[in-house]
Amino acid sequence: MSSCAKAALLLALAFATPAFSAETTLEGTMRALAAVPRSSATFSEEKSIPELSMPLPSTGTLSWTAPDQLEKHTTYPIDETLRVRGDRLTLERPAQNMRRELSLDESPEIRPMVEAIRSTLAGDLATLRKYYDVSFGPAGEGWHMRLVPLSISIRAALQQVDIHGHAAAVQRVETRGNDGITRLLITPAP
Amino acid sequence: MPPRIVLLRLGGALLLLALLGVALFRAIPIRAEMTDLLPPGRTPAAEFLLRELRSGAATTLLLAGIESAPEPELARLSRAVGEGLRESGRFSFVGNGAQDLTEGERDLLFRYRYLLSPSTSPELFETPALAAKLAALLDGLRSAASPLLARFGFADPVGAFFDLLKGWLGQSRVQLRQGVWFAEDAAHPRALIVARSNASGLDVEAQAAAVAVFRDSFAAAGPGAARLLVSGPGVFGAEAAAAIRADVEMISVLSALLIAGFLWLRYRSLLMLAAVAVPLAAGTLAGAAAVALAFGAVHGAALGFGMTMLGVVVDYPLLLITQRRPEETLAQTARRIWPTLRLAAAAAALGLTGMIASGFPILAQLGLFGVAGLLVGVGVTAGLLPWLLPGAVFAPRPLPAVLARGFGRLRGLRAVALVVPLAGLVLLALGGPRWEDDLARLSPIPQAQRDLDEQLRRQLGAPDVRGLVALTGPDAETVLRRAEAVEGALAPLVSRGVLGGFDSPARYLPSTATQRARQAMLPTADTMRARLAEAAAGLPFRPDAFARFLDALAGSRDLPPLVAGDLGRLPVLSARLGPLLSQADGQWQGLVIPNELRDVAALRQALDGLADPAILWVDVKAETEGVVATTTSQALLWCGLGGLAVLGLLAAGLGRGWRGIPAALWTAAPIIGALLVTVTVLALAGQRLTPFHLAALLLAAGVGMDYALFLGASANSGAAEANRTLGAVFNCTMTTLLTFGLLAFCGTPVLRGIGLTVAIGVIAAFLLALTLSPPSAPPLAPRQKAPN
Repeated sequence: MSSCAKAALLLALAFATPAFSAETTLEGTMRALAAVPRSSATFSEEKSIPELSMPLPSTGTLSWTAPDQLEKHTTYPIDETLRVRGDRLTLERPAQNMRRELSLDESPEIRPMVEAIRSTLAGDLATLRKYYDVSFGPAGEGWHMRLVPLSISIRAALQQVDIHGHAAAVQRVETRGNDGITRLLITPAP
Repeated sequence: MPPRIVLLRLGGALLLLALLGVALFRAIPIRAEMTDLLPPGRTPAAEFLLRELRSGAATTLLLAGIESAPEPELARLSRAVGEGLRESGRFSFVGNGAQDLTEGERDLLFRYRYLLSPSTSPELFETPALAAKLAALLDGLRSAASPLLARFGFADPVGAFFDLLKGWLGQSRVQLRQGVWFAEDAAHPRALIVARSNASGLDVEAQAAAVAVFRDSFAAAGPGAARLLVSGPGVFGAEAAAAIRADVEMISVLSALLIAGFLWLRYRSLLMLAAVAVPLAAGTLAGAAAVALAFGAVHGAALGFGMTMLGVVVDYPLLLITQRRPEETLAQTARRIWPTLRLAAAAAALGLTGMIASGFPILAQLGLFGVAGLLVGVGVTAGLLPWLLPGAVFAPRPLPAVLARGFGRLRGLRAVALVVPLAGLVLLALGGPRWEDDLARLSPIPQAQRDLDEQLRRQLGAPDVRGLVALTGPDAETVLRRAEAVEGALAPLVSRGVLGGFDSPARYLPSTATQRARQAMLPTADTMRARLAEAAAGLPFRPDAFARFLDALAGSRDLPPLVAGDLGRLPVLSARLGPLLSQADGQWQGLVIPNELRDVAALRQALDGLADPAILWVDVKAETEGVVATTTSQALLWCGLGGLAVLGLLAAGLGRGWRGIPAALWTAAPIIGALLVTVTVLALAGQRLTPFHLAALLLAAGVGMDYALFLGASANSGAAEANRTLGAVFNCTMTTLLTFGLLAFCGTPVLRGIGLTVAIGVIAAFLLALTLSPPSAPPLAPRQKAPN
């Protein structure tokens, strides 16, 4: 057997083993996330805004298509679709006949918020590190990643994002910002 | 071999002229002002418009495109150039990408939201309106946009700040890619930059320095294959002068070669070329010096046009040298032909003096250039040339037999003159000559530069301004109040759909009076607290949720209104306001710019209702066309007066008293006919006449006058004399054609027009002068011609 073929075989074996049998590293997790071409899930979210006497709940579905398409469709209590694709972000609320579209390049304050979720799903560590200080560690069965904005002006609006996951799945996103604390729970669709 | 003394004197004269030329062009300032290229205005609206074109806010604007590289590279270059421009400190505004409010500016605007926002009204703070706003806020908090709403919504539940920013959004057509502006409709990616220089539009040096910063920043960024295109009034004057200089240089070299070849063919002497160069150079230097003395500087464009026009001075030495009789010295010839030569040159110069009075700076410079150049050229020819050429003999070669026979038949063939009434009929059928009505085409700014400017402007979404409302006042406050009055008058037109909308300085900076009125509308914190509680009933807002709003209301009532002096702290606001509100010579000026105006009459009526003489409607298209028409008719008037004066001069020169008039008319007839033929040919060629065409017509008339005078004067002096004169006039015609015919191929439209006009005019004048001159003895066959 030539050395070339041997290397190929070893490589094939390496890919055949499940990604999480090895120890959970940031790079390994990112690679695993990057290998997911598409996924869909349901979510339930709770926003705790300090000025409000009760949290605001919402539920809906999430769908992801690599490399950069994310859709958050809220079905309760209002129908709203937030769609991100490349540089464009669109927000639609059919009930009010409202449609907003903006360029993420043009919105340096919004972009980091989008990338926290999108680049994590894409396993794009380089982009995450462009906006965040990333810390990572195993937590329970899975892993926990904390994102702290690098820019001071962003930190005024968004203090930190905590992402909990297991293997190549994101399970919980907790965002602390100037609109309080938002907890997003994600359940993979069957 | 010419005698040594001739070489010495001629060489010395040329050397002296060259030294003088170098010294002169070092000493006199060559200007490139846009101002000189614009005609004067004669109505208040036209004056305003031209002042704006010369020194208005628009003149400090530079537009640029970067292209011919991949998008990421263009974005990098755009950022580098943008940084270079901002660091130079020469620009009050540089826009090339996402233009964010700085935190400081946003905070300041947020603090002033209730004073600046158009939505501030007493109803906004009443319970019903509040209840609706609070419900909308809660709804927004549920949405994905909640971070934004949480940030501003509790401090501004009535949404005055969002309304304020919404009013500022322009209908920009640029696209943001890679963080910088790109043209939306370009076939190849083109990054766009807008910069407003600090310098006044009249400060040409500072404008040139600003353009240089642009180019230097670009060069420093390591552009590789990428190209930087810069446009804007700061570039125009310089570009026009440069383009004309390039054209003139090309024409000078080419026509010098052609004329040298022709003179060699006709005289077999290179010395002839040097002899012809002396009056030409002297005339050109005199022209430039006269303009510099009278105007303090020479415009690059006037210099270029003037040098080309003075090509006709070559005629004088040709006439002198060629008409020498075999037995004469050159000095004797000069004395003999001086009365005719003097009359011809004086008539040509007199014709051009009208241009000096036209009031159109570049035309006036051109006129003076021509007058001084012609007079000095003729003076040097008659006074100096014989001394420079003692004993030199230039024997013109006989005309080729075919030409000699042809001209012999033409001479006195009056039927040819029928072409003149024919031309008149054609011109009538065409409905007369067509006049240029586009101000842009009246200026010698190269077409390519104008196209670039138009394209960049469109890509940057600059509005196509049909007209504008100009407001003046002793201070910013007065102008802003006038702007608010105009807003009030125009608002009904917007709701009627007659007007799409308008941009007004008061939209960005309301007058102090309006800001105070808004302060007076704001309820006290106690009143507001009670209304908020009422409006928030049943909604999950905590009691202290709107503490920041209540504080802001109290604070807003004590704020000193924002005034023009505060703009230094507000770069984005200044950038929006800059073009609409400006100060010059202790006078403040504002512009309200309507867009999608569908009924000018309705707008004028609405403005008339204000009955304020400080509010002026400027119909841009009509006014610019009016300026062109006025300038053209003025030029036409001066040309007509010049023509009459020339006739008078001819009458005086050709005979005493009334008896001179028929002779003058007879001499002028071929010229008048030639002018008619020229105008007809130009009309047939689709040329729109400008004052420059008129100047060229005057010049052609002046040149043609030489022909008519000399052919007329020689007709009764015997065949040899007549033929010598014919040969001289033919040589003149050919050299003129070789110069001006070439102009028809150059890139500057004005030069092309001048070239075409003079070339056609000269041919027509030559042929008509020949056919209308008295028939003489049959021409000598070439072999019979006496050697001279």
